[in-house]
Amino acid sequence: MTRIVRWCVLALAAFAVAVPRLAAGAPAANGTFTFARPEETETLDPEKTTAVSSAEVDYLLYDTLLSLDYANGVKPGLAEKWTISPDGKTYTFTLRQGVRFASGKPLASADVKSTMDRWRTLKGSPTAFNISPVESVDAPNPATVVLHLKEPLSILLINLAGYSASILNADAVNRAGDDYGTGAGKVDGTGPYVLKEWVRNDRLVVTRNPAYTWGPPLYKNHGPAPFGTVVFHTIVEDTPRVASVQVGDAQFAESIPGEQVPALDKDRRVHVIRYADLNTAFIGFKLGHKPLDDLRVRQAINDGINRQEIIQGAYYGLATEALGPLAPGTPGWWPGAEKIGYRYDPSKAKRILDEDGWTQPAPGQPRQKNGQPLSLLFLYSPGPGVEQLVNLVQSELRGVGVAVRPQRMEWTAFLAALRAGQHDMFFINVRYVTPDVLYFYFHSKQRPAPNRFDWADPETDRLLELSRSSTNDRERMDAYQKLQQIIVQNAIWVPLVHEKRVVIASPNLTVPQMHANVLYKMLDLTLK
Amino acid sequence: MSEAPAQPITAPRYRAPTLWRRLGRSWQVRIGTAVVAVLGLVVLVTPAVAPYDPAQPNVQDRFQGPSRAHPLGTDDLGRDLLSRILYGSRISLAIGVIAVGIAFTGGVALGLLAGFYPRLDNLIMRSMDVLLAFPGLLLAIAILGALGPSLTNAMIAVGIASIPSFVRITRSAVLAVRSQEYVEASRALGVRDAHILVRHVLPNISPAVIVTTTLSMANAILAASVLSFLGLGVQPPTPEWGAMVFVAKNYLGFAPHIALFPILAIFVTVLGFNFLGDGLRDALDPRLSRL
Repeated sequence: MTRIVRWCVLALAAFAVAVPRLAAGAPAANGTFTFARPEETETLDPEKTTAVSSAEVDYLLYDTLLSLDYANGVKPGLAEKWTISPDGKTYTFTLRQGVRFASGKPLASADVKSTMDRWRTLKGSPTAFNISPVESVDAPNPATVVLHLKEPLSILLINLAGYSASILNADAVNRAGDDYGTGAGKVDGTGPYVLKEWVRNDRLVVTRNPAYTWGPPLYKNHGPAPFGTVVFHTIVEDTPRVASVQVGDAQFAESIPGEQVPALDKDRRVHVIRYADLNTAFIGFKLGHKPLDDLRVRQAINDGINRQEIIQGAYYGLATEALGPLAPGTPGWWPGAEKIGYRYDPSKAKRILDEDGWTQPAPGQPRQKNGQPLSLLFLYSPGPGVEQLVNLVQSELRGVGVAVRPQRMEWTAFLAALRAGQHDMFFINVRYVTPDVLYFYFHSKQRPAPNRFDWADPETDRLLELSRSSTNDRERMDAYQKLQQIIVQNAIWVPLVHEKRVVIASPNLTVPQMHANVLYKMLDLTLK
Repeated sequence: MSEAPAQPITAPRYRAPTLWRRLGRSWQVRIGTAVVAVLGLVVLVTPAVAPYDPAQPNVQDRFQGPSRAHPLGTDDLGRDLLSRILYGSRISLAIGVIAVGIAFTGGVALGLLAGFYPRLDNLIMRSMDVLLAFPGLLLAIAILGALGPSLTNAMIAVGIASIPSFVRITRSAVLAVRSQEYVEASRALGVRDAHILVRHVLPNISPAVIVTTTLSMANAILAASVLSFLGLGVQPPTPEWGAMVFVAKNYLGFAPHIALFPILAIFVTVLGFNFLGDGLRDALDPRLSRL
């Protein structure tokens, strides 16, 4: 009996000691920032992924040699200054002093060299092409890194500011091997936060790095970070993700569907932020499939699509008309697209098809030429607004006598079908930071994918190579402009819209400005 | 002298008056018949009565609630929901009829063979066991995965997935009939197997098959809706009811009617066929009628 009493007293005493400790150990409510997103982080090895959901965490855990400001301009990062040789083939970076990894190890040029060497040679890295001309990397002293290139690469500096170029601790990479980036203890960067816990498909928790004082120049606060803890919460479905901010579980959510925006604008529990990044939603043609080899058919389809109706119907007004392949604001954007780009003109589309010999047997039926009906297989993968877009395109083209047979496919099956060339036309929305996206899509070496259009033109190839290797800015921009002209005049795409992004924040969160990388390093965010 | 070959003895049949009286007594049959009849009528008159083109978007009028112009409101592209549901009835019924047609033809043929020829029994029934090992919908999804998503393939997939239940029902009914005197007698008289199967066995197992057919219609319509809801069935802008719910789920928060009306259409149709099937079973099953 006395033994039981003694145990009870001991247990009570332990409880009395433990409770205040537990309470103190929990982060203060205003020190935690929760970010709700639809996709799970793929890996925290920045060289092995193209997922936005991984990039968002990488920017907190790591730093890059260079940083991007709000206008996508290149600014210092871990490198405080750099020089480029006149032939554009040698880049010399001077590292900032006093930077340490989360593990405490000081940053040295050897880490940068090991990171760059691993990235450009890593088997299966989806982003290694970003530095493919880099031939070798030297670290002559602990504060200096030299990159040697086979041929100039005009966009190298921007590529070195992306998450894929995050500088990793060489020792941690060697220790973890292939497991690098798979969980706490297998990640070491110089970023404003440190990985604490990662429960897949639920939450990823990072905590403040108190030693961080080397934030990029675009921020007023260079460190330490404003929040003690940042939690990334994976919520796949739209409605619960929006609700998580409405009820205060999260302070920020991304991928907000357009149809919910009017109601959210009136909702005082959330603050709706609209911003533009560089993207183009387009329909691509398979030029190898008849009758799409006929330029006039492609032009008629371009004329027969009502972009304004799509902006209202599929994007709820949250988009602008796309007349060329690149969005206004992209370096090298061609203003001529505004003049010669295709605008909705169904009577012109009908006239072109009439002149081209496509006759309509009866109203409502597809046109025919030599007994062949004008009927096109249209592949797409679901996404916000895509279902409406496909329905609108189909109904608009039916109006000019073109039959469209839409087929919905899951994303990976969709990409496989495109690679196999099953499509006559397909829909994709592409996001980019540089006009180099034209190289990605239109160089003849990129067939069958991502050049899923069968576009092979020596002049296009020459201009694309020039745009990458020229060190003369004027010459590069001229090349980009000519490329856009070629793409519009040959109607290889139907450029549809440039989508505006929508995110929501809780009203007590202050977001000074949105970045191309969403919240980037979050250093200037404040939570009341 | 002309030969007089032995007349096969025809099986006793249900006498019509009793059957009709029994059918008429069942409230389930009455409701079920009414629903199915209305549905049949709708399918016939839709092009004449539907107020709008079901595929014509009209973005300015989107998300409208029920009104005089649009009795059931409009969907996310401003298309008239009533017209879409009316046209959808044709798709849903076509799926039901064709899928069940496939299941009926394949299932009854295999079931007759399995029940009548003990040698084939094991082979056929073990193959059916393999199919039955997969839940019906999962099997249909797997078949669609192989064939690719489309309306025709959805019908084929649902049809194939429903074959095993027809085989089992037919086989067990055939087993019960096979040893009856009138079958034995026909055989003894040297009547060909095919003739016995068609003239004597089939009519006597028809009640069981009719009930299964009616109940399968309900299942097939539901399964096709589920497949379309998952994005595997019909492709846009075909106004199939399941596909309409698939798109409407995104707007449940502020325009629930876009999902509600196609759901109601599926619900009423499936309930109608189920009532009809249940009522027919009660009326056609001699054991139940004696209770």
